[in-house]
Amino acid sequence: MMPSPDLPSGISVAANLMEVRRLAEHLRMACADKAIDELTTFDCELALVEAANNVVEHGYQGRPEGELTLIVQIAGSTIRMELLDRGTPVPDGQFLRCETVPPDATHGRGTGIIQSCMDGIEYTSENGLNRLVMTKRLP
Amino acid sequence: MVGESEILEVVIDHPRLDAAAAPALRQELAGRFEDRPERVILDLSNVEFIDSTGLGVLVSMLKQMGTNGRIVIVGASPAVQRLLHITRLDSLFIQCDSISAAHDALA
Repeated sequence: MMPSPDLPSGISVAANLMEVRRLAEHLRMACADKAIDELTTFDCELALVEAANNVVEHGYQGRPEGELTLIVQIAGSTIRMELLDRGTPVPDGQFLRCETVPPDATHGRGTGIIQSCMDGIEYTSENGLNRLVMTKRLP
Repeated sequence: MVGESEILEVVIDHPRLDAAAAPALRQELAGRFEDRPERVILDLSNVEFIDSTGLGVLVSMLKQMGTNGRIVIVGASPAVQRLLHITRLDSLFIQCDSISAAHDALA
C-alpha cells in the first residue's frame, strides 16, 4: 500500500545550532515535495529556526545531551510544524506577548518573527516535554 | 585603513547567515570594520537564508560604525528582503540592485 502523502514526517537531532540546519533541511524537503511556494517555505523555515535556536540557547543552555524533534505535516491547506524538546520551558505566555524591539537591538526578535511568520502558535509543557505547534495556512 | 571618503565593500560568503554562522561572521566583519568606516556596501548575493541572529550581527556592525554610519545591502534575496521587512529593519538598511547603484546611494 502506498503511504499517504499527507502523513506527518519527523526528524530528531541533537540540540546544537549546526543541527538546527538539519531540521530546516527536513522542512524544506517536505515543502518541496508538496510544491509549496518559496516565500511560504521561507516563513516556515524562519519560524522553525528561530524556535529551535531558542530551545538550543535557552532551553538546553548548551547542554550536549539535549534533543529536538520536528514533526511536519502538510495536509489540506495547512502546514503544521510540531517542535518537541525536554529543556527548560519558555515562560508562560511568551509566544503570545507583543514586544517592541528597538531598531538597534541585536537580540530579542525571535518571538516577534515567529508571530509574523505563522498563523497559529500553541505551546504546552507537560511532564518535562515541551511542545510548540506552529501552523500556517497555504496561500 | 578606510579613509573618510572611502566606501568599504564587503562580500558575505556564508549561504546561511544563521546562529551557527554568526560567531565566524562576527569575527570576519569585526576585522573589516576595525577602522570604523562610515559607508559600507554589503553584498549579500550569496546569502540564501538569514535569521534574527545573522541580522543581529549586521545591526551590531552598523552600531559599531557610529551615528553617521550607513550600510547599503546589495543582492538581497527574497528571504533577506522578507526578514528585513518583518523586522522593519528595511528602514535601517538601504537596499540597492547593484554595486554601482549602491555607490550612487552612498555618494
